[in-house]
Amino acid sequence: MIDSFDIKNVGPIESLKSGPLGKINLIIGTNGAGKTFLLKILYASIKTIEEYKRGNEPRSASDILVDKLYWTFEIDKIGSLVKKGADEALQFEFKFNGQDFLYSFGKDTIKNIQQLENHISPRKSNSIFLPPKEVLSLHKVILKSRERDKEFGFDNTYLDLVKALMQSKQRGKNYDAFAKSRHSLDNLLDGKIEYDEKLESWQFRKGNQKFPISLTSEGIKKISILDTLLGNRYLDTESVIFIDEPEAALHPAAISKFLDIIAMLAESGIQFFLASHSYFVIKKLALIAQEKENLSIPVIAADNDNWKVANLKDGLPDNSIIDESIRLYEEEVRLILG
Amino acid sequence: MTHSRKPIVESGMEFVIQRGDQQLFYLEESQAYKEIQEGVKMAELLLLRPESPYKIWIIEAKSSSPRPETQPKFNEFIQEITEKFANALILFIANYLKRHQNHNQLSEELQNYPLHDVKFAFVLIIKGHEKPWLVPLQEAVGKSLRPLLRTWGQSSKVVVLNDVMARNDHKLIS
Repeated sequence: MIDSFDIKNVGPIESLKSGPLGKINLIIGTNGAGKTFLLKILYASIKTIEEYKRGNEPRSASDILVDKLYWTFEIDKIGSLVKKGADEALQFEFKFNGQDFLYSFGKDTIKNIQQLENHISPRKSNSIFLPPKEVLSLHKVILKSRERDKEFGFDNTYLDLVKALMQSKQRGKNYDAFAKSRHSLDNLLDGKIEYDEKLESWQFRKGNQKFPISLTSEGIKKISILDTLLGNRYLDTESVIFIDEPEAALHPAAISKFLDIIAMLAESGIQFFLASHSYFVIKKLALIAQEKENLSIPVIAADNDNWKVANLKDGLPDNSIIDESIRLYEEEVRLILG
Repeated sequence: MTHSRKPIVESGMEFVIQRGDQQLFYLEESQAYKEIQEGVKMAELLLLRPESPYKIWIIEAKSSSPRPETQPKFNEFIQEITEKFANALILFIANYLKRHQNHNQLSEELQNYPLHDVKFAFVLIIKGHEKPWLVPLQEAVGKSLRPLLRTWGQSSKVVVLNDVMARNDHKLIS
């Protein structure tokens, strides 16, 4: 798992040191604070490690990283990722299972990273990024745009997910650790998604009936995606899952159930990074942190340009999302009592 | 009528009756309640606040409350508060309509106050509670009291305050 990270001049973030991370890590903050940016740079970095020396992959870690950053952020030169107005270079460093991965580049860098150190052993596990928008009904468009036309529009988080979902089911029994989580996912879903080779599209199967995926709700698609990735063994207990806005398209009751499943998966080994705006997500995770003694949930919170790290075991952090729920309450009190 | 009485101290908070006893109906200490109190839970007091959007406040004070996550204690607590508020409303209306023998319990101002379009606020004050804990509590009491509020009409509401808000924002306690 990612033990900790330390970054400087990354997109909108001037400086952020995570401290010890947990199996579930929550990133909260206002719009534009850099939550998605942070998720994406962590994702591009871990995908670099996962691709490096895999099979017959000939490229250097530095070449893979440039490719990952280019297609994840869709920028003409990777120097654009350096914080605007910063005098110094972008610096990225994380510790993964006790080993270091670090790199640095300046704002004029086009596609050549000179400073990169990778001490992490090649790994077999896959990590994945679940963006807020669903990909199932767009998968043909995403593949065409990226694989055939090589155009910007759907970044790597979308393409990787489309490809991961298409991976056919691997032989062998599913991981026991995932059995309970998948059972809970199935209860939420009341059906399964499957790829129809003839129609070249995703379908939703409920009993004997099949529906085009476009007729199912966004929430069903979201839960189905996680279920499929666990079922086709793309993910294993060493995977890292990044979820941008886990609350998107989900009713608060479904958010709670979804997060319970995430907690189960975290206990089986998967590491999660969740970026959220939602009071329900924060509140539910705080309850999970209180309930499960062995699950510490660091919360990395941005208020304006100021990042703070706390732990949900200590209760809800001071943050503008929490403050807004209190502000609404105060507004109601004022309307009633004057 | 005007009462001469001891200071009202409930759950460790002393209430301030800003405009004197004309605006007060001390539910718990009323003669009408004393005669029926066996098995009847009652809120503390009722205040007339003509300057407020919700002009009649029925108030219950508590020194603590269980957290929402401590079931079933939390549900029992909400049930108890709901019962107290509902009984308080009925006791006030019964007095207003002079249905009890000791019907001269209400002040002249309260007895003559036209009620047909008055909004009621059901105010729960919890000593020492932090604001973030009040938010779910207000939702829970509001939900539990909703059938009564809808039946009573005129958009009555539930408010949950801590002692700091009751003192600083609403001058309810000293």
